[in-house]
Amino acid sequence: MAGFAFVNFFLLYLAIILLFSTIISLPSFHLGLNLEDLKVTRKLEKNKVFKDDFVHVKVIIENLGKNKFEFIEVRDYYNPTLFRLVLGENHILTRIDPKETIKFSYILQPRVRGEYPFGPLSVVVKDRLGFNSEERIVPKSVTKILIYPPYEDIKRIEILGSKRSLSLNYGVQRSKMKGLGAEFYGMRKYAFGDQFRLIDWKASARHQKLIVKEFESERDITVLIMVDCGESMAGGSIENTKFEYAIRATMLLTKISLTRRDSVGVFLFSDKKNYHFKEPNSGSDHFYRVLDFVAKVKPSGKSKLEEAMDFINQRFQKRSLVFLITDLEQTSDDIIKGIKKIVMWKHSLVVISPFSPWFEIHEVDLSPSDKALAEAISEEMMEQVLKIRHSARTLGVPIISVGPDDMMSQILAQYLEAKKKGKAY
Amino acid sequence: MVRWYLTTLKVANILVFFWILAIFNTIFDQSLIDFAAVINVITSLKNIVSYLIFGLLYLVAIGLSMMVIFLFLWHVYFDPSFMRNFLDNLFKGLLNSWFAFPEGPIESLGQIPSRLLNQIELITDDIYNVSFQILFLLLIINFIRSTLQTNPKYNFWVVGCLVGMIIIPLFFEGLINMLDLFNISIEYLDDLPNPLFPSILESPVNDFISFILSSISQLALALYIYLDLSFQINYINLISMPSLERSERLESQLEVLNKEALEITTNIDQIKEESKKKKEELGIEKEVKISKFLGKKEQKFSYVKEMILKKKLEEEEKKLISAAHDTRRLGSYIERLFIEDSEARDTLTATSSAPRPSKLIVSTLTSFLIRVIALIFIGFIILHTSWLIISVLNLPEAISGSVAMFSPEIILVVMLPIILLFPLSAQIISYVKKRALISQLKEEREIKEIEATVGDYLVSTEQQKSEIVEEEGEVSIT
Repeated sequence: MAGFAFVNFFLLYLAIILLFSTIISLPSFHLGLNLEDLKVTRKLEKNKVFKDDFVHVKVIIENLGKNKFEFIEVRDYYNPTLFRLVLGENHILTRIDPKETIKFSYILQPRVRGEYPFGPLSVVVKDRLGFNSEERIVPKSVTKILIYPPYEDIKRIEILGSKRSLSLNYGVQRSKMKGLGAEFYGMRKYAFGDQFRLIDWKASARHQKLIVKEFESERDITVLIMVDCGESMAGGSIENTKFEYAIRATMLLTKISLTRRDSVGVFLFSDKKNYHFKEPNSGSDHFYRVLDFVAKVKPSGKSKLEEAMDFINQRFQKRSLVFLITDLEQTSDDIIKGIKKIVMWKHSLVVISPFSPWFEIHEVDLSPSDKALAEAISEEMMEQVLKIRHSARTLGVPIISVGPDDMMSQILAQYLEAKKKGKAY
Repeated sequence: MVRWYLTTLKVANILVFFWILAIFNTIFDQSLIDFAAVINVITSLKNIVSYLIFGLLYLVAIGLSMMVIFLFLWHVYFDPSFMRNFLDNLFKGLLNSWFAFPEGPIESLGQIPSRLLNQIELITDDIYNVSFQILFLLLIINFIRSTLQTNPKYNFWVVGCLVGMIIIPLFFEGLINMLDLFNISIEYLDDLPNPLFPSILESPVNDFISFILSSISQLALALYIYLDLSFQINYINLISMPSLERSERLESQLEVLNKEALEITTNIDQIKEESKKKKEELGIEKEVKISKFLGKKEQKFSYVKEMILKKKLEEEEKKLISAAHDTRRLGSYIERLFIEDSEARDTLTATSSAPRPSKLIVSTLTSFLIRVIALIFIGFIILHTSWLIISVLNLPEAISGSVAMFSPEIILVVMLPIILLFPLSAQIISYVKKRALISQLKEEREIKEIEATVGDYLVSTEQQKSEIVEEEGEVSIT
């Protein structure tokens, strides 16, 4: 068979042409392959971005050399589970002449809080017909980007003003708690025992009965927010775990407290290797420090409440209003012992417990057996919570179970109530 | 402009295709191909299928009748021969008339295998002719596909089909010649027509101009040009179309975004209203509080079900509202971005990446011409090894007059070194450039280290000087 092929010059000539056409451009391709003349850089609009925000990413390709690149493909890698591509494309296929600059950009939306690597940039150079190619990763093209918790909750407060927003968005009603303070709250009829200095004589004359003024307690307190960052808090859909909700609640509470001139500290804990403590401080700048602080923490490790309380008690003893956000998935003994350790230092403690089944049922199309399982788990969890609640009640500590719908409103309500009652002064 | 250029290249490619067909016509004698062979093959295939169906039905019927016989054999009134007669009458009488068998009705099942073999023989007689027609049909189909879609794979199919039409008769010709060496002759092979003209077997003449003008070298070159143009079209399509489409796509996305952003508030209200109505219809509470769940122990199960149902409704509502909010936020973000960054619109559409048509045209023509000319010369040199060895290299008589010079394999003596020359030179170039880059980077690092140490030295000398000044100051005071 081979013999006839050589006798036939048409097939031989065609084979020679096709064979040489694939390799003829090889030397010129390598001669012109000066990848060091190709400068590819990325410019992020910002390295720190909120979860519900957008980030504009620009890639600049400069050909600093004398040779053109017939065919280049530049791709900027990002993790699609962490970012959503909103507008534009993260790659480009083009040619670039000598001393030419090409720019392209795209817009991403972060989906998950935390600090993540972004990139790298890869460059593939090919010849015109695509027979030869060379791929390189651009050195030092991996950038770290920090994604903060969502700002939506806090934005509502900023837009509407804190008091009105709290009632509109979180259903938090201001309760008329008697207290001594500088902030005027309202007026009511005189009741036996009210101080004479509170009587508003003008209003009394108008209404022909004694009217007293009411004031809110507005003394500054220290608020310490303790958040369980154990593995169990990672339950839920990837963008909305219990821990994410806890962080959102932390940021919201921090904002409100700092606005009311309270000092706020944050303590994130699980096991001994995962203690993160931000000392209480006040001022509007402290909000951003707390934001940076909580942005990078991820749930990990097995939570040990008692040991964590020992740690914090050694570092911070000032009487405070303490919010403990935990899913109560440790043993009840450990939880009660931990609570005792806080209460021992005369802190005013409120436990906010995300009720796990409510956060973790995110697959809504459950089969009947899955539904039955969910119900059984809910019941078991409920028993555990009730048992711990009963023990904590004896220590005077309220345990409030919350779901995704009411977590923000509950934590704020507890804070405002504590302020009115003058707890932790 | 780029679109026009692309269209021009496609038209050129179509013209090259017709040129190929014209040259092919000069070496392929179509009159020797029997166009009725297709009909014969189809008929034979139909007959084979008919025989197979008939045989299968007959076998199934026999099986069923055997079963019936076995079941009712004990019955006193049952006559087994009745089944056999029934089958015979059914198949030979009735069913035979349904099928139009070319060799007449089937008398017994044993006739089917031999009849099948006859039909297969008929197919094999015509398969040679049919293969050309199939290849030609594939050629036309793939040509149309390659014109409508810019994918070089269809062009490869076109070339493959055409070369296949040449290879098939050459293959049988070579097989016949080989069998002749052993004095073996097969009638079937001898009867096969050879549609190729003898010019396909001629060696190109030693004159370069005659070589270029010969039909076989023209055909080979035309096929290569056809493929090369398809790759060029694919290349231009890949680098220019995405940026044009990207720009159009982004503009339409921005238009939709602007429109949606204006209607967002109404949409969100509508979504919330609909969700509220659904919840009221299903009797689901507005807010599911955990405290209620923990309190009402006897109603826990229904409460969990209600929770899951509520979550299901809320998921839909949340998705829609979240999408609506995202749209509004994105709209305002884009507006702000375009104000703050004047080139944002251009970078999002990557307008700067669109290649300039003039440069594209020049580079396409240049690279195409260089490749074609280089391939013509390389092909000529390799095919005319004797000319190269005798006239150019001027090798001694012992080599130029040897028997090997007259064998076809002498081509390899020249081809292999030339083939290896290209990748070898590419590797050498790559190696030299790498070394140069490494030494350049080393020099730069050394320079940086020197600068760093000089910087430290300068800092330390300044500190010493300041200490000396202070001491002198003290001395002067004292």
